[in-house]
Amino acid sequence: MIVVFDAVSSREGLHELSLSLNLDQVTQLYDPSENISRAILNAMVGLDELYSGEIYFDQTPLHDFIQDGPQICKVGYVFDEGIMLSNLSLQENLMLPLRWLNPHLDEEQTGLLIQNWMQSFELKLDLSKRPVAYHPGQLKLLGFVRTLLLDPKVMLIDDPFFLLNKIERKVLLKVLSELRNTYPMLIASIDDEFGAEFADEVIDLSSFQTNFKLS
Amino acid sequence: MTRKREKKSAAGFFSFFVATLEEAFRVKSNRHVSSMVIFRQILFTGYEALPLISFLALAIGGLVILQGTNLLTGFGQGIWVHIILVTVVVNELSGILTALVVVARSGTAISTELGNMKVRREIDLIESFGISPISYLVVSRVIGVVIAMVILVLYFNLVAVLGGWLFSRMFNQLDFRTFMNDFLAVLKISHLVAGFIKSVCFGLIISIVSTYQGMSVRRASTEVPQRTIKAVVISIFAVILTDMLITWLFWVLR
Repeated sequence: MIVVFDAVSSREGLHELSLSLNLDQVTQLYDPSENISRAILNAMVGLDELYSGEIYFDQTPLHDFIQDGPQICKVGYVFDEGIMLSNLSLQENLMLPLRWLNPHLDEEQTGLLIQNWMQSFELKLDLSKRPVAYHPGQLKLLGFVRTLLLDPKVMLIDDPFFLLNKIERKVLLKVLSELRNTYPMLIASIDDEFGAEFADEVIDLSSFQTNFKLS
Repeated sequence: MTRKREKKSAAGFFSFFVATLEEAFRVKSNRHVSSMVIFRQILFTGYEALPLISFLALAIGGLVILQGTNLLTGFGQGIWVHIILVTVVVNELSGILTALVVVARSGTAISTELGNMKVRREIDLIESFGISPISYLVVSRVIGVVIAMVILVLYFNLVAVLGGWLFSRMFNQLDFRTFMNDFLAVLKISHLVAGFIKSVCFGLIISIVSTYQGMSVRRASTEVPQRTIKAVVISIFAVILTDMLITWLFWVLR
């Protein structure tokens, strides 16, 4: 998948930014300010409206790409913090996008799928509890589970190591390594360890960090 | 590539209102998810408010009868106390007092909850799924509050009438059937219609104002109480103005 940011920013180097997201190739956005990389990820999911220009996914404008079928099956976004809806149980959090997508969801089958992913991430959580019962690292890994349940075409991951302890980092790296042949990944991270161990291509955005706004 | 500056004040509220109405017509397509949010909202706004509404209604019904009887018996017109009960309680106080309770409990809760969700980026999360926050969070709350409001106003009226009868018994040995006969003789369909329209309008006003203020929070948690205060003040103003307008319209049309 080729993602082109066409005239979204007037800054040289970002004016015609092109990202090639392929299987078995992990692209890392290196941005010490974290603002530009986050803005790029947000724009790709349609969270931030564009002042100018257009984003193309394989030559299809973002709006058409998102409108053409359920957005959640196309772009899976894992936030830097393990964001969960605090008024829902963990189970309801995992199920919400799936239920929204499919009124006749096979809950039993989905339950098995959730258990499998939780085993992969070595998570032992009581899903009937609310998010407040668990620490942010566990919720972050559960955020990965939620995204993977949707089986997206491409995964956007914002600061994957944020909030994770050393053991959780190892687990995450192991799972992501297994998934690199399944999902194209675009990862925003300033973690050198992550870049060295996992990313194939690093796009350095540090020279653009002087201003929050791209346009 | 940053967020467009959100439209301020009246224009922003109007476009939010229109978007909410548009999504409300589409709510059927996602009722398998929204119905639980609506049910929880009715439970919180309606069921959990019943003790307070019961206390208020009993007290108001009783006090109106108490003051009315004191005043009117002096002129030998004690039987007209029911007119006061209908005019003051059924027509005006039930809607306004229930609205004030709903503003104080649910309006503040909705505004705070949505504001905190915005701060914790939970709204962004919902949007990233391609789910419209207005459809999932706002419309379900609006429907829940409107249904709860209609039920609460009806309940307020029933309990207020009961309170009125209980206090009437203290002054003259009036049995319930006679009291109700006198009350129903004064009550007209137009009073019930006006009460119903008012409760729907008040529910809409409180829920839309509160959700709008909650969704208007940007990133700072300090905005949450400020927006909640705004939600309360604007809701109360709008409820009183709407009440005056509807009462005036019914007075003109009678």
